[in-house]
Amino acid sequence: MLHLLIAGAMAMAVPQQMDTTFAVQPDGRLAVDTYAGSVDVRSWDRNEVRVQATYNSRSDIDIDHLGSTVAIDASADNGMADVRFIIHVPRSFRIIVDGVRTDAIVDGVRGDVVIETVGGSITVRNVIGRVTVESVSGWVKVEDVRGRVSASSTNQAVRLARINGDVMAETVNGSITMLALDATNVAAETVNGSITIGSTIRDGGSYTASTTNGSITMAIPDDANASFRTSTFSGSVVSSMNLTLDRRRSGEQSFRIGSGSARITLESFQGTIRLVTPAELNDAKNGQKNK
Amino acid sequence: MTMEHWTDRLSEYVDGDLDAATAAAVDQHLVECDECSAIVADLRFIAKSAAALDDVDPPSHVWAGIAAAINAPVAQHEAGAGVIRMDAHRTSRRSITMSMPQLAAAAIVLLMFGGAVVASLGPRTERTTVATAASPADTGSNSTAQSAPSEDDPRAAVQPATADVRGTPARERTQPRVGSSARTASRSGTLASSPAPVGGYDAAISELESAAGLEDGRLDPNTTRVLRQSMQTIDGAIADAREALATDPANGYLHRHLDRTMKQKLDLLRQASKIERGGA
Repeated sequence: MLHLLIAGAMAMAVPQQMDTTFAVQPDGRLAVDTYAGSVDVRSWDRNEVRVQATYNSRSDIDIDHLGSTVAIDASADNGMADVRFIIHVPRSFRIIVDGVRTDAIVDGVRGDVVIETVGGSITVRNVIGRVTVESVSGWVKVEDVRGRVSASSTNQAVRLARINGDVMAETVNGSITMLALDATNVAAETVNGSITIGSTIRDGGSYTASTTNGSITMAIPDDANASFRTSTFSGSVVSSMNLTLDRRRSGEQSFRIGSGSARITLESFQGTIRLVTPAELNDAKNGQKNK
Repeated sequence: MTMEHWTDRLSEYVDGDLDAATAAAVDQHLVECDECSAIVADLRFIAKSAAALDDVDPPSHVWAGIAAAINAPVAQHEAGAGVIRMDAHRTSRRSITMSMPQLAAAAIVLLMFGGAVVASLGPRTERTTVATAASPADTGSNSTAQSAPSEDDPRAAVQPATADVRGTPARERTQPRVGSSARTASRSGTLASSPAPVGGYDAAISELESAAGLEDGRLDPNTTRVLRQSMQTIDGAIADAREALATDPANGYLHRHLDRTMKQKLDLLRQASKIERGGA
């Protein structure tokens, strides 16, 4: 058992530095609990964990290594530890980060990732494993993941790209952008924001998006087999594609392409629902980048 | 029977309050109607969620206000409203039948009893501009506006866009069609305006909010601000949905939309409670 306690309370008022490395099992777990600052987790090809930290004089950093778990706990007398971590872990580590005003980045692990923060942003990329991330007032970005992704914010945008696995994304005030998904089940939900979906449409899959104040844009591949239901109260439905209307009744329209195997449900209370081709979606995204 | 016919009976159906014949008719309808099936599933979820909440005694001053409202004699309710039937003078079984949104609201109230909920409801505010992001295909030339849809128009084709979608600027919606200040009662009932006892929703929430200590600084001010902002956004959406339902009470989408928005509020309250417990 490794136990390190770095007490900063007696230190000077200048930022303190800590750098320690220790051997671990390759398929262990890292759990970081802190208040403010940032947690930047990177993988490497060593069976070691390296913890680098920059922290204020009031903060203490407690590192426990018991069995396969490395637990890092930042605390302070006033309860508001402020630490910037850079942590290297073996590639197969699972990662758990729990923060308050904490930005978190996890890159390159082959294990499940769970991040919860209140006032920080979250970035997860190059992960093989399930990703569950949640922020209140920070944005959330998840890219290049093979595994199920659940991503939520309350007051900022959620952006997912190149996910191979089922996806769930939600926010209240913010947009949701999901591009280059390879997913059987996709769900996106916001109240005040737009939703953009670019995904494979797999037979038997389920793809849902709902917003109150915002548009929904979804790319439909040519070879998709899907049944659509679009619903709006005061918005509209726009398509650049030839779709055959199956049914229309108050606020709802149903379409079908191919065999209709997948179910696509798009609902915007007062926004525009757009069904476009993947090329059109790419053009739109490229156009936005070039602006 | 149509979906519209059964919408008001689904709560009773879930509660097991329908006679056998009516329940059987609803069973049959549910087989054929995805919308009503979804509503029933939602109602069961909400009821289950509410039932799962821990029993926590609220502060006495909070309960006093609610109890007074519950015990007050109740005015007649429009039969078609399908909202709440209560008889304060009846000492035997008290029948309470709620519409789906009200049940969700009740679940929220229960949640606020159960946890130290800190989110603010506050006065409803006018929502500001809603803009849609620039995106393709928004030419408007082939939009199928649904504000005045033709009913049951099978096999009609949606024409492809004729304009170059890439160069077309997005339309900005500067004024939502539906204002968020509405208090109009919908067919499903509007808790804020309902004369029914539990219809003191806003007042009860306000009291609970105070009891939960929203103003005593337990939460980080920034977190509180964000949660308030999000809550106001959801409240605006709920108000819009209610107003829309008042104009189109048979609209199945609007019922689902209101239900979903109430669930979002429930989720946010849960999140606020969790954050408060975590000391953020």
